[in-house]
Amino acid sequence: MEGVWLVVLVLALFALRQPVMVMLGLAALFAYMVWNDGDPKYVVYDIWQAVNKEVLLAIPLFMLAGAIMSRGSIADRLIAFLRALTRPVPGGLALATVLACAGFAAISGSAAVTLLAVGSIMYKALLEAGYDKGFAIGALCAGGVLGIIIPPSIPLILYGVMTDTSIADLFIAGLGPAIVLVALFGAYALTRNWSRHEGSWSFSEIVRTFRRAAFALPLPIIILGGIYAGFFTPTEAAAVAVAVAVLVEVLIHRDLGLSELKDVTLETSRLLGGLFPVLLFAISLNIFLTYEQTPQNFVAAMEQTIDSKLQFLLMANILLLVVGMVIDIGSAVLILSPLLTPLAQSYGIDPVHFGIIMIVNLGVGYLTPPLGLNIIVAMAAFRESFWTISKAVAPFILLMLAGLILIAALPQVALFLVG
Amino acid sequence: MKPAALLAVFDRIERIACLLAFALMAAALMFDVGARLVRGSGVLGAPQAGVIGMIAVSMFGMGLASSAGEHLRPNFLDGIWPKGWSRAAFQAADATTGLFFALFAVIAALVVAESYGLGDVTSVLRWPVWPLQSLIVAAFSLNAVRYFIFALNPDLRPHGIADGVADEDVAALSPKGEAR
Repeated sequence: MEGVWLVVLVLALFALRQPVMVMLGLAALFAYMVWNDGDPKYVVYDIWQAVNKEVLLAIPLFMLAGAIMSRGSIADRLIAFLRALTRPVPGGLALATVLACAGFAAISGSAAVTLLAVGSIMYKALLEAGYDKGFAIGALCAGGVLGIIIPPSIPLILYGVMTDTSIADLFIAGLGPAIVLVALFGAYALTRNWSRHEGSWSFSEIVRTFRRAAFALPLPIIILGGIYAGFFTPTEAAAVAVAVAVLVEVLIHRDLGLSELKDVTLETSRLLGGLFPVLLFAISLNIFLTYEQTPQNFVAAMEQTIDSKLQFLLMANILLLVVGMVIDIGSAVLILSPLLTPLAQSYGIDPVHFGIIMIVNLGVGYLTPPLGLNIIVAMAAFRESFWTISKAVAPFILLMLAGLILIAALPQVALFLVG
Repeated sequence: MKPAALLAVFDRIERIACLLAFALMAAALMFDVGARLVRGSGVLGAPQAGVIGMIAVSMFGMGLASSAGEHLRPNFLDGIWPKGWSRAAFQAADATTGLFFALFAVIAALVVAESYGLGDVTSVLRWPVWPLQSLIVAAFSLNAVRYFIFALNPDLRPHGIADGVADEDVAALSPKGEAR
């Protein structure tokens, strides 16, 4: 009966237009008051315990590094170099768009920021070169999603925190699926635009753009290579990323002054202020659920109805696709990962592999109506209607689903570098 | 003091606190990594200092997110209210959020009192916990007042990404801060 009241409470909060943070906070409070010994202070103690984790430091620092690099000219320099490299390829500008999104994703860790950083330059360039508007919008929206799949990825860190999975392993495992998606997007971009020719290679242009991008190109290698090679933990890599970002954008490129650095820091604080309360209340609820052995009971109940690994993967992916359409990825990871991961493990699925499946799947939600964040951002950025953008992203949703099936069916795609 | 002026004061306090805390967090971690690379061992207590900075950023950043209307909110049930009720629906929403923050500010204050009484200290740095936990009380209290002001003065309410994208949201996300 208490469970019914909890559902009624959550539905009432939805209707009352409450933030996810309020729903999780009140759900945690309800759980402690009704199913525990009735002391509300436990929720705050859980929050305190949650926020006191060193591993969480990676999130603000990667976000700050991504924001600094987004504000500077790194995207511009990266795109110029990739355009010079892909010039003789038929449909080269389309390919450069996908590769630029991938390159910037390896720095930013955010889907919307990747879409805006690359889109602000490439959308106009694609239209001026005669590329189809629908393709341009679709490629940029889908390319933006690479921001949360290619490490450093904030949703992957959240998954690691909530499920006690190694964040370094998750970052390493993100590489293979990212290559699969970039290959799918790239192949589609080339096939659809094969008749377009940009020109021929210019050695002087390649050298000139390479020199301009010389400090931007090694950044992903320094940040991710440090983790892959075991030089840094993800938290240390995040600190290095901030240091390198400030060094390159403020001292070398001189694209950011101190006042812009202040603005970027405040923007990042604001984004963190939206994310962290959700994370903290989700951890509080998770601590309660773990204490009450809810995940174990959930696994036992589900094992009665789900017969095989295949059936579980199908069910989990359909659930995640539906959830991804109506809830933002951060909240979905925080709420669902503690419940689904033990179940996945009970069917022999590696938690690192399942984390990657989860993030790629929820990434599709950035492109699906009614609440796809990249659709909403693209509406404002490109001044196009919801319907136009929804049509434009449709082929890329199919490509992402094809990639998701491949990644889910072949664990080696994600795990070939892990361990 | 007028409500708008009070909100501006809150904003200023939270901005300064976030800048100082972010600087502490980044500097502590960078010194730690630098020391590890140079002399093979990190700086004692640096990660803990970073965590303290993170606590402050996350708590005061919550206020910045509130004043920008940026708290993550599923809006798929927004349509259940008749269109003419939109203003009243947002007032009810803000009053509810204000009550939530006020409730947690009180609970957090009880926890702070308990920690003070028990003399709890942090690990490694051995600092008293209660002043740090007080950040939660302060942040929740500021947000409670802020949301009550929004409920009473709907014109001061920010409309963020969950209410439909405004130009400033895109500007904030975009390189060089340009709205397109």
